[in-house]
Order: sequence, then structure tokens, then C-alpha cells
Amino acid sequence: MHELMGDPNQRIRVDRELIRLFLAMSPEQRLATNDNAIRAIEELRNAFKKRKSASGGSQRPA
Amino acid sequence: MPSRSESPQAADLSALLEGLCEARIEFIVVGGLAAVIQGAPVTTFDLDIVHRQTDENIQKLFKFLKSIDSYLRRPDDRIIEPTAEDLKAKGHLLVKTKYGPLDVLAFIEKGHGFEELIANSTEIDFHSYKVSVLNLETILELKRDSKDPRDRQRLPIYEETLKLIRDKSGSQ
Repeated sequence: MHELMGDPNQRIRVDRELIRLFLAMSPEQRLATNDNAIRAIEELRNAFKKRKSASGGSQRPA
Repeated sequence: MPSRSESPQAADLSALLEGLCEARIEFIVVGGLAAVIQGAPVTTFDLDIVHRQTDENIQKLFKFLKSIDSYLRRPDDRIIEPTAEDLKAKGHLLVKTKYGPLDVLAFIEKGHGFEELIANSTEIDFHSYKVSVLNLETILELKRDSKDPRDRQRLPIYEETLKLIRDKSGSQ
């Protein structure tokens, strides 16, 4: 279970476990993690754009 | 002439940072990536640096920017390459490169440039290089009054990261 810090009424909450995970990495590993996250986000964005243009902009209801 | 592909290449900020080191450019990593390097679990899409504005350093940086197909990020589609004069100016130069977006800043918040910030930087080992990174304490101090929603969102993460770093070093 992750330990979330901060006022529960605030919208921003901090995952301390995620920070500990990041702190255990070397600076090179942290940079590589950031690069991987960018690539994953780009891929998802491109897939979404592709799907949107293929379906003529129509989306399924959530 | 650099080729400008329609589909942008995926960012590789590690390669961009390594290239700056290889070119022996004097700079300080600031912004989101500086926080990432120090352990803040956020994702950032560009590399922000403050460069030393000496003639020699500007020439090295200019040459490096040319070698990585840099051009200015603009709202229109015009392709304009940065000049050495741009790097001498006291402003912000926002470029696209083949490794991803790079912001070359003469100064950051409160008008601090390289000379003021170097004392508040920490050196980290990156491959076989030493890279100066603006320390998390200073990032927090500079961003505390920011109105930028991205900064407001990241501040609690930076604060908690710094707290955990201090707890860890206190317990050792």
C-alpha cells in the first residue's frame, strides 16, 4: 500500500513510495526512466491521434 | 541543411545531456529535469539549461546546436536556426533538436544567471562526466511563488523528495 502524503482536501497528493523508488536509482537511471516515460506518452498520443483520424473524430462514450 | 521530418523523433534527453558534456560546454541543468536527476518522480519533456556566457562557451554551444539540427520553436512553421548572437543575448532560446526540446536560458527566476547559480548547484556523475545541476533547495525556493500551474503541481513532490533525502542523509 502506498503512503500518500498531504492534505486529503488538496488535489495534489504525494506518493512517498514512488519517491523512495526514484531515490534508490542512480541519476542515469532516473534520466532513462524519464526518457522511457516520454516515449510511452508519445506512443499513446500518436495511437490516439491515429485512432481519432481513422474514426473521423468520433469517440466511444466513456 | 538539417532534415525536418514530419513525425518528430522520440526525445532522448539523456543523449542531449551527454552531447552537451562531450562538447565540453559549461552549463547548469535547471527546471524539471534537474529535479528528476535528484530523485523527484515527475516527467518532463525538455531539458532546461543555463549556460555560461563567455565567448568560448557560446561558440562551443553554437557549434553543438548546429550539430544536432537545432531550430527555434515557433508558433508558425518557419524554420529558423539559432545564431551565436541569440546565445549572447540575455534571454531565453527555445529550440527543437534531433534529441528533443532544449531551452537555453541566459537567466531564470529572479534574474539569476550562470555565475549566481553555480554556487547553488550540485555536481552529479553522469556516465564519465560531472554535470552541474541546480540543487533541489534552490529549485524549491525559486518556484515557491510561481503562478505556473505545472510548478504548483510539482512543488509538493519536490518538497517531499527533499524531505526524504534529508531523512536519509540524517539516518546515515
